[in-house]
Formats: sequence, structure tokens, C-alpha cells
Amino acid sequence: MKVRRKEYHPLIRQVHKKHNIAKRTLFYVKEYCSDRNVISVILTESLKILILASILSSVAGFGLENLKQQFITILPLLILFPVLNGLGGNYGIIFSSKYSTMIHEGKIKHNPFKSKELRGLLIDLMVIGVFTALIASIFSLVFAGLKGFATTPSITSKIILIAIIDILLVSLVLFLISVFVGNYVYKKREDPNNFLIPISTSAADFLNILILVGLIILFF
Amino acid sequence: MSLFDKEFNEILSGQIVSLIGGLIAGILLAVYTDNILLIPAMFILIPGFLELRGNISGSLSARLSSGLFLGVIKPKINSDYLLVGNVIASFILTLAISALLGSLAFLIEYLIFGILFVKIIYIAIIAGLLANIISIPFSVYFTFYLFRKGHDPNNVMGPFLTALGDVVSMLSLLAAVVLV
Repeated sequence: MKVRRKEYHPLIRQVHKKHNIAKRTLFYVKEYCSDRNVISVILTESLKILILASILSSVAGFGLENLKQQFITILPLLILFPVLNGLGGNYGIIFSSKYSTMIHEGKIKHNPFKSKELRGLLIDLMVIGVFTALIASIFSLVFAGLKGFATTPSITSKIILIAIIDILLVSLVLFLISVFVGNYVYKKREDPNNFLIPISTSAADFLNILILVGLIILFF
Repeated sequence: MSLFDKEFNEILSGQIVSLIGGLIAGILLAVYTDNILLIPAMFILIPGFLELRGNISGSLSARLSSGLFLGVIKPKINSDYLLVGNVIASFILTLAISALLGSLAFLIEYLIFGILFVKIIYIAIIAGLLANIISIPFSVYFTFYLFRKGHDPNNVMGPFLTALGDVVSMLSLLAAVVLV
């Protein structure tokens, strides 16, 4: 995988050729191993994506603020929210990093949807998603019940459905984002790892909240 | 390719750890509903704040892991400039983004709901500072500890930092609400 020349100092190529030290090692040393550089490099490289993620989260949070009353009155939803948020974010990271690795290893040919390994990964994550959503819903209903919330069969089934549908939809959309963005970035001769993970985690949080808001409006 | 293979088990383990952290955070939200949720703009702040901890601590752990494997960082807490630089950068990033999140929450609440609540910015900054005090030392210590024990921190720290981030964020927000 070629990284654009301006990412590497020209000296790195010479040192790599002469002393056979990995370019990645030299890149890390160049980026971080200088008194003046380490803080400014980290701040410069991280700020943009963190600002974007913050804006997306705040916009999504606005959707939640509109449904504040529902969240406060339907206690299991309140308990479920951080769980679904965390699970969605993790899926973003898992899909992105695994897809990037598959691309680098040449396991993705022309049509990524024909890749057995990729389909296997999607199935794995969907099965895990359903299982964890079910466990999370049950625990949230139990704790809500202990706090005096009336867990009727109707509400129980709605909470479980919301959790499962939310996770399944988030998994599917993240899968598509990872595939399309990953392929696009790779064709531009960039390392998907640098783009996919921040994009996927931001998208996961934003999507998760949007889908959750939509499902709450639908079911309640 | 079997469904319940090694990869499935690894992903499932990570998700269960994350689930536990999320549930604890959710329970804290439910128990302290009056303290946290009746504050204007809190729901706008919470998603971004939960995500922030995972991003900052996760990136810190990943950079330290890379440095450890490349041999440019020793798995020892000392005044090494790379380690100190990483910690300082993480602190600065958290405070800056916490301030941004607080400001965005304030602006959205004011422009759309017409509620003027400047304290949300202070709550975000104080919560960010408090969360840093717990999660950054944890990230550094356990990254080094896992490396010394022969494990790859990259495989283990991710879900733990997400789970810890959820719990620490909720507790920090609660403490900040009480303080402000």
C-alpha cells in the first residue's frame, strides 16, 4: 500500500533502504520522537476529526433532547441508551479495522459483497448484536422494574424490538459505509485505517441516535 | 467458516465488556435522573461526552501500544517525553472538546429551545477534567501492564476503555452537576 510521498520525509526512504528499518517505524519516530513535535502532532492530527464527531453527536443529541420526556418516563430506554451507543461505536471500529486489514491483505477482489470472509464478519456481528441487544434489554427491564417501572408485556416486547432493530440497522449501515468508503479511500491510494475508523465511529454514534429516535417515535 | 469460531468469541467478549460498562452508565442515569436529566441541554451533551472518552483514551492507548511495539517507549511510568507528551496532549484535547461540546449544547438549547443555560459549558469542562483524572492514568497504567505481561494492548484495551469511559463519563457529569 503506497502512502503519499508527502506523508514521509524524504530521508525516511533513504534510511529505510540503507538500514532496512521499517518505514512505519521511521514514520512513528518522525511524528512523535521529538520534544517539539509530539504534543503539536497529536493535537493537529486529532482535533479535526474530534470536532466533526462532536458536531455530529450534538446534532444527534438534539434529537434526543426532543424526546427527553419519553426517555425519562420509559426507564428501560434510559438505561439502554448508553449500551446501544457503546455497542454501535464498537461495531464501527470492528468493521473498519477488519475491512482495512482485508483490503491490505488482498482478500477483497472486485466485488466486496462476494467475499465470504466479509459476509461471515457481517453475520457474526449481526448474531452478536441480536444476542447483546437481547441481554441489554432484559437487564434494563429488570432494573427498571426494581425502580418501580411497570414492565407490561407490551412495553417489554417494544423495548426488546427497539434494541434489536437498532443494532441490526446500525450494523448494516456501518457495513455499507466501511465497504464503500474503504474502497474509495484505497483507490485514492490512501490508507483506509486513517479514515475509516474516525468516520465509522462518528457515523455509528450519529446513526444509532437517529435510528433510536425514529424507533421510539414509531413504537411509543 | 464456522459461526462460533475464535474471531466470534473474541468479538463477543469485547462486546460483553462494553455492554457491562454501558449498563452501569445507564443505571447511573436512571438512578440520578433528577440530578442529570432535568438540567437543560444535558441530553445534547451526553452522547458526545460518552464518545469523547472512548476516542481520547482509545487513541492514547493505541499510540502508546505502537510506541511500545516499536521500542521507542519503555513500559514504565517515568518522565519520558513521549509519554508525557501523549498525556498532556490527551488532557488538552479532552478539555478543548469538552468546552466545544458544552458550547454546542448551550447554543442548540438557546437557539432552538430558547433556554439560556450557560452553566452547561462549565459542567462539560469540569466533567472533562474529572474524567481525565481517572481514565488517562488508567489507560497508561494498563497499557503498560498488559504489554509487560506479554499481551497486545490493542486487542484488550478497546472494549475496556469504552466500558470505563461510559462509567467515568456518567460519574464525572454527576459530580460536575453537583459542583456547579
